[in-house]
Amino acid sequence: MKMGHVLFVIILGVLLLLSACRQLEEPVQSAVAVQEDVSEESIVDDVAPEGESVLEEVTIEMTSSGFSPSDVTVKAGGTVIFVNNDINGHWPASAIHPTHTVYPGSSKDKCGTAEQVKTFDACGEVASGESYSFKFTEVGSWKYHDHLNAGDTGTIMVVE
Amino acid sequence: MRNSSLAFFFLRLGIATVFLYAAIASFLDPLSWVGFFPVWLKTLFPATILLYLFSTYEIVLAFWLLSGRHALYAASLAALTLFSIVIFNTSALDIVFRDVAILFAAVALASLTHEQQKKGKK
Repeated sequence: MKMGHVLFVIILGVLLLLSACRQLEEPVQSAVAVQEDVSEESIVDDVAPEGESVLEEVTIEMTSSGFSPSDVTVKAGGTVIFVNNDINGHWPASAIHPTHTVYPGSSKDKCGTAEQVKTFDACGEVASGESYSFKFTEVGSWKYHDHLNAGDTGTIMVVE
Repeated sequence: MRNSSLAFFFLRLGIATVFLYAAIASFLDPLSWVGFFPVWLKTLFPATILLYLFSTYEIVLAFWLLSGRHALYAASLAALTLFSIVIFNTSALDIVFRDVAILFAAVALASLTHEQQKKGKK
């Protein structure tokens, strides 16, 4: 193998690694409605630490630059409200695009059925000024995205 | 030589299948595919029009690849298309990482075709 080939492979590998790391390194921001920061320990254990309160309702704003904040923490049984403050429509839904099956019980196929209410999926465009909310009962770290802008992603941490 | 021709055919078939699938799926379920266009592009042109144009382009490219005519250019165009898809969707790398493999398959096809053409001229 020529030196040029090796160099090309190394550069490509580094680029892909950096791209993957960029996604991992995005800090887990506290939600707008969270009173105090959730420590890293709680993130690992999926349990809110004693003395720190995680609210049961969190709001995520949807704009042309994506979700804000993109990563939030909410108590199990709590609700996350996605508010569209953009002029364009957005469609928040569970990862992974386009099937939306990562959150337990979720699937894009359930849209329009009786099970739609249990699916973490707006099941359609949330128009400008409108909102979509979902109650999270499953503890864990759940990735989500905008079905209409697949590159806009975030994580919802559900703690006990 | 026969094996080599078969390998060329499989490479072309594989890459063409991807473009054909994406194009047909885009027509059937457009909302699942518009998300891969960069936002700035969608502000310039309506997303549905973009999707139909791109799907048509994908179908043409797929049949061009399958035909085997001027495979160097078809493969290069396929590689460029896939490169753009990956670059504009690095934040969705969980999904588009597979395109990296197809991109290099297209690069391999272009480089093998180029090699073959050089040999043919000698």
